[in-house]
Amino acid sequence: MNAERIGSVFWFLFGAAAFIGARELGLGTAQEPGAGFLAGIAGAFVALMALIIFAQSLRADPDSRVRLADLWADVNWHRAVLIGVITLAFILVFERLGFFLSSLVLLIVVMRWVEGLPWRTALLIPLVAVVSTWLLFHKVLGIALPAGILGT
Amino acid sequence: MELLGNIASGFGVAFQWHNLLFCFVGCLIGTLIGVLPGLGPVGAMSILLPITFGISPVTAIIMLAGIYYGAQYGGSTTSILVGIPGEAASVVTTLDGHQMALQGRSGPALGMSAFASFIAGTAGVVGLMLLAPPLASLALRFGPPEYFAVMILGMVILTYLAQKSMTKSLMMAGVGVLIGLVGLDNMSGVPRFTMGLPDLLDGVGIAPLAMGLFGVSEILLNVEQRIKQGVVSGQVGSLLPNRADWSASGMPIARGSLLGFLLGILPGGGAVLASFIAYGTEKRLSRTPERFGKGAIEGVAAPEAANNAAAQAAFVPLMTLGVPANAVMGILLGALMIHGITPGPMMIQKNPDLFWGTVASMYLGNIMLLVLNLPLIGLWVRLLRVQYGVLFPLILFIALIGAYVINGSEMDLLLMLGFGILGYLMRKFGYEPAPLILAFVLTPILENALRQSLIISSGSFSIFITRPISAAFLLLAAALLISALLPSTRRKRTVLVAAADDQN
Repeated sequence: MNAERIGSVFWFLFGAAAFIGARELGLGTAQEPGAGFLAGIAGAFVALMALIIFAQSLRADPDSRVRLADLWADVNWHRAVLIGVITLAFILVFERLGFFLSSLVLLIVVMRWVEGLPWRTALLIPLVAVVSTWLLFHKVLGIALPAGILGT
Repeated sequence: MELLGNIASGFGVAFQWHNLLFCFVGCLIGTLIGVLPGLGPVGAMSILLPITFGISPVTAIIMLAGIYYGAQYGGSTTSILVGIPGEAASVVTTLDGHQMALQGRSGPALGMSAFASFIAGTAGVVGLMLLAPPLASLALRFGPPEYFAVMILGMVILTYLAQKSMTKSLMMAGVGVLIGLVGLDNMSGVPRFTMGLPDLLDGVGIAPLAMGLFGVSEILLNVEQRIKQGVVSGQVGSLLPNRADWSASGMPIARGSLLGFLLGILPGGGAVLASFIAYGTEKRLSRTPERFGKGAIEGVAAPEAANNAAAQAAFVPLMTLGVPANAVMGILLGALMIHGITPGPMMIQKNPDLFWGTVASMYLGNIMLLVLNLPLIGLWVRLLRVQYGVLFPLILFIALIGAYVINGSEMDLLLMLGFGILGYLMRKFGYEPAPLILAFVLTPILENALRQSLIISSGSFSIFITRPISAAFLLLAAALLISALLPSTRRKRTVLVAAADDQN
């Protein structure tokens, strides 16, 4: 599958959806622009640019065409997915588990299991980072961080 | 006399102990992120935005500005010693700087880079100081049509200078406008594109957007290909360039400073473009252009001077028009607005302490950076040897906490991750995030200017071409767009894209 075409189709749909949304908001008139006026222009513009990119991809030299699989060739994309999933898990438990627990787990999991750092490093650096961040935000700047299951 | 009085009061502000401290912290963080590949000033400034909530606006801007110009200094260290740019504006420095390091001349390369940065940075501050107040007076004559036109010009320049496809960059600017429109419409009070989520009524924050597109996406891209950290081994040696180095670099520094300043003022221009053009100019003017790319010290001096002068010059449109010249200035604009200050022609009059204090702090910051970058070079070399596996989890962690504390909202964290994944995919597919961020930041001003212009003209778009300043800006924007379609320009762009890809 041609990567350029897939990208342009995505952005065309995005632009078209924005234009439809803008129409629902009300485009208004030039004398009295509505809430969807600029959004309508921007949505149509995005869709138009996407069409141009799609057309350019049809005319491109076949040798220079990039396939979707080429974008992830020779890279360890599993690691990027893993980091994304761990980050999502952190976000979902952050307020429930609290700042200390969730932050320590995040850093230790990434450093020890994803990066394979020695236990000493994977425990010491997260501990120092979490405590110093807490001191900076909570004590120095007076910004509340979620206490979670550890209480206040 | 008024100018001297303003400078004196600016130094009075800059010398307050807390401002000195935060200026130093900003310069230190700037150098740090400049040295470390993988996190640019946009990401770092957005991550640190929450830290500025508890301090005064002057102190906040002094620190954030320090991060920006500090990153220009620090980026060259990695370019020279490792051969990969620590920061986008240092890409060109890699060409000759790393060659000098391989020839055992890393000391003079680092030294010249720091001195050129200092000279140009200081010259840039003088330019900012002299140019901003009269330009602000001129900008008082700007009405909504002129503002609309200057913002369109800024977006067009940024997309014109895009490394890859201009069509894609224009499209990203459109996407940035759409994201900038999320939230309550100021005029009608109608929620736009909020998908029924109350958290989105205030719109998408600049911090989760910038941290996601620049910070998280960078991490995701880096973790899938292990970063090679081939620091040049051996002692750095004496950092002082010799007489021959100075005589070869004198004029390139002067030209680089001037070029950098002029290009830095342009909305959409900036340090990256300035460094490329300064390098190209020196190569063209040189009697021995074949030395370039093989360790010519002018190839280090000129781009380093240019990127630092441009970094200072970028403050001119922000401080005088309230229009950010690039994504970094967009973050600064966001920071000022969080503190209740609207940059624009009246800012210098209404908040003289903020403007003159920031300008004075830049003089002090440049001196601090010289100290940080020369005697402490050993520290930065050691830092370059720290594994990315230790650094990236910490960067991710700080980004997450930074995004959360702004509003105490889980939604901001989800947005940051979402934009991080979007940014990762955008870069994979060859879409640049910078036009998106700039357009996002400009959208509220752009929309107001467009609506007010149309209301003034009773719905006639001719208002944009019948007023001379607005017509000139739009004409320039149209000329750029048309020139990009010309076959000769297209060929040049293709060559530049290939060169940039080779560097990456």
